[in-house]
Amino acid sequence: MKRMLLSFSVCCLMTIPLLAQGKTPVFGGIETGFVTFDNEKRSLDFIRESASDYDYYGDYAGSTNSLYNVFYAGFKQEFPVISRLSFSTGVRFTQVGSSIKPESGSYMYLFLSSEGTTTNFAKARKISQNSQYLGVPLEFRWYLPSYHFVRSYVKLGATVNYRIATSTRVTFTDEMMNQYDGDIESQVKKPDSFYSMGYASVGLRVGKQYGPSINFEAVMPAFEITTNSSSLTTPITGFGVQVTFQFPMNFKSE
Amino acid sequence: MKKNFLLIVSAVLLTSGCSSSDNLEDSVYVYDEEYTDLPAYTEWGYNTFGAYYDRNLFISSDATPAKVLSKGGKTVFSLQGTYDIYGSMTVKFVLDGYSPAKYADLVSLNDSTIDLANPKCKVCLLLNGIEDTLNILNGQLYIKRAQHLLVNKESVEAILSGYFQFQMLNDGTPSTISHGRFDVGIGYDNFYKL
Repeated sequence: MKRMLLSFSVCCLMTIPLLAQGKTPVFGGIETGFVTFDNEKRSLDFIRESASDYDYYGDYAGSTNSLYNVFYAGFKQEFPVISRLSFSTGVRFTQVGSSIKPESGSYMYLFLSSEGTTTNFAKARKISQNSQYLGVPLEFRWYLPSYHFVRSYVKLGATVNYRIATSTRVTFTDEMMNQYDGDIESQVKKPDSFYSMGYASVGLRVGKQYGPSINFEAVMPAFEITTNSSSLTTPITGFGVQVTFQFPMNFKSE
Repeated sequence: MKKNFLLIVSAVLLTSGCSSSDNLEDSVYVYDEEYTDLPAYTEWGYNTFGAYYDRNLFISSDATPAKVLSKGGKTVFSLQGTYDIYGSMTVKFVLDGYSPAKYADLVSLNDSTIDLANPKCKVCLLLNGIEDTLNILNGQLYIKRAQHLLVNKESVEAILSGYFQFQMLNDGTPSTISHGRFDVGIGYDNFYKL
């Protein structure tokens, strides 16, 4: 599967330059970005609730707080399609990190095991899961004004990613309990093998028309196209930032 | 002014201290999907119980909802809560011939059904400071699960989870306690051996 993704991205990089016409160069770029998501904790049977369903005011209350963040970095090329529209693709490494902490207090109780009438809990400060993916970004960028040194643009993008590794870790209150990390890990399913995210963004390109440039963009909103990229939480909507350094790759002056 | 400020600071410190809800002794209400005003049947030691007493709600309050007293070959398992608008109420199940030495011994009740109409068993009702011994017509106390709980490999409490219901004559008036369920932790602070 990794080979397939790699082949696909190489094909994209090799064939799409055909779109580039005339004097407009193809840009290479190194990108990095971060997106944080509003999310909902999954129903996890091994976490003991520590707060009632509803608080004093009758509002729904939870026992835990969850985080879901995406960090990525990669290389991509931007190909002009028509005067203001361009298409980018490349290879992207993505790390999806999610974690659960107690909403109040400093620890939560996790179910470890049960044998006969003896039940074992452990106190934990945090459960976190990190998954690494290799994928392909696909982006369409529309430049709003014609050339200026600072040029604004809007972008629509998506990524298709294949999971290469996942690790789940529990931070216990007592280090002696680290040996039971596997008992929790065995109760947490692995995320799906494929993960896909869609996003829109607005940004500024700073640089000469055919020269190197730096691009700053605000990613908002971002959303998951696939649903199971974390076993701990379900992402809903995200926002973040992306920075790309670009340089011309095949420019020939007239 | 200074006094008021100190009072406010003390109140904030006290309430923030109380907001930490990471103790096994706290009551955690996870409500039943069918009987939405009763806690669901659970086995986590959430320190809650609930039942209908003649269709009115009898439910645990946030104070210690359960106590176990082992004395002279008898054990009293009491559930204390509030009964609708009538205030504090306690139901006591007196089990004759059963006398655990320590809370961990309560696991011997695992998966046991106690016939409350059996003469070896007595049920008392304490309402507004007046205690009555009930004339039980029929009913059971079913301890579905009794667990000895270890946290970080140290003994902490016993968790008793189960159901109860019975019909009774109280001062000649027939009444029913129905759909009762409990999930309580019994540890050092609510287990007594005399």
